[in-house]
Amino acid sequence: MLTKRNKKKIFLILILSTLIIVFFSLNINFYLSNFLAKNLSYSSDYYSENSRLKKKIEELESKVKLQQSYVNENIELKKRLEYKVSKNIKFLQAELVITSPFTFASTGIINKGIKDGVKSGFIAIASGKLVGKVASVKTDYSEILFTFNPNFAIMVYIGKNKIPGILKGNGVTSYIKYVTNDQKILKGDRVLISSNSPEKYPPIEIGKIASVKKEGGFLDMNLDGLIEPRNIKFLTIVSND
Amino acid sequence: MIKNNIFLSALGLLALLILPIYPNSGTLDFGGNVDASIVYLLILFLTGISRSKIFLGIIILLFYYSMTGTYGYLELCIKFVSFYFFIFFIQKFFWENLRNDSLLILIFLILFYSVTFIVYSLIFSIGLMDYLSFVCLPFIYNLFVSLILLIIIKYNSWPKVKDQVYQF
Repeated sequence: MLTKRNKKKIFLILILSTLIIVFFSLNINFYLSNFLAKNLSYSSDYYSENSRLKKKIEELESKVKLQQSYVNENIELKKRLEYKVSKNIKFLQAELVITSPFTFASTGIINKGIKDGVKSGFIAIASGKLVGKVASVKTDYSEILFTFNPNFAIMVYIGKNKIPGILKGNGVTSYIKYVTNDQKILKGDRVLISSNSPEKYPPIEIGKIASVKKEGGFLDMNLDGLIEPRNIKFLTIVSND
Repeated sequence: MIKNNIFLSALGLLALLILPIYPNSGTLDFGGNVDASIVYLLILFLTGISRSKIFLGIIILLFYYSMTGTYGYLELCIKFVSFYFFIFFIQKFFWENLRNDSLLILIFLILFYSVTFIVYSLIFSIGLMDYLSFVCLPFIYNLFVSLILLIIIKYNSWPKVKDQVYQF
């Protein structure tokens, strides 16, 4: 006679074996096909080389499609931003190596100078926003005036009508001055860099009008979205020779 | 016996002076919000005033001034005036505990930024809100960095153990 304990053991063994059989029977197809593919399939160098090349072609085709989509996106964005780069415009990458530790009259030194083609008055941008202007140039390095420096001044144009004004620093921020109060300027209008004529520089957006205040016969405008120049490490010098 | 190495001290001082001018150098430049000259001078004067320290303070200010633009002299003059009052306050009153020292730093920073606002609003007619938004972060950073350095330097020091002479 089987004891109760033995009956339990047999019952447990039965359940376990049933589970294992069910598991293998469900996956037998996988194990079998894997075994067949590994050991009994027909293989030749010609076939494997052909399939490898086919795979590579597929990969390259997908990469080309991806790059084509980037090119299209770039063209579309340029159209939207009305980005017309003149032939004279050149971009030069530079590193901000020194920033003066004073809080208000802060300036910076970049590692590009006369020998790299930098000239006084060139503008410096980072992430598409204005950082400052080249104030003085030496052989190997140049001094940058940040936008909030009281010595900083640059011509800008505002909105769709391209109304000219002067962006000037005052030690803590920069604001647009010398726009007569008969001009229609609204909050949110785009502010773009200009030289004496809009064609001289590419229309780089430096911010949007945050507030407009009447001051005598002129408008005083604050800018929104100016970049904090003391945080940046790399910048681009825009030359327009 | 441990001797003070003047060469190493001078080298350390030079490194402390020069390193904050490099952006992202990881010293005192918290995104350009810390004015190294203010922090150094606060620590220098709060740990005791002597002629050599005042001379060193002037050198620090002139060194940093040499790296600013044309209008840097405005800030330099304001710093000279503010630190003159700061030294006057330290000498006239008793400040020898952390709470009073913290209060003194706070008073100095408020004085410095208030005088700067008056001068800049007179010369460049800046708005109060523009000024506050520009100064808010530097004020906080200068205050806390000065306080942290003060605690480390003045209120936490190496245990002063006299050199022992053993006789065998």
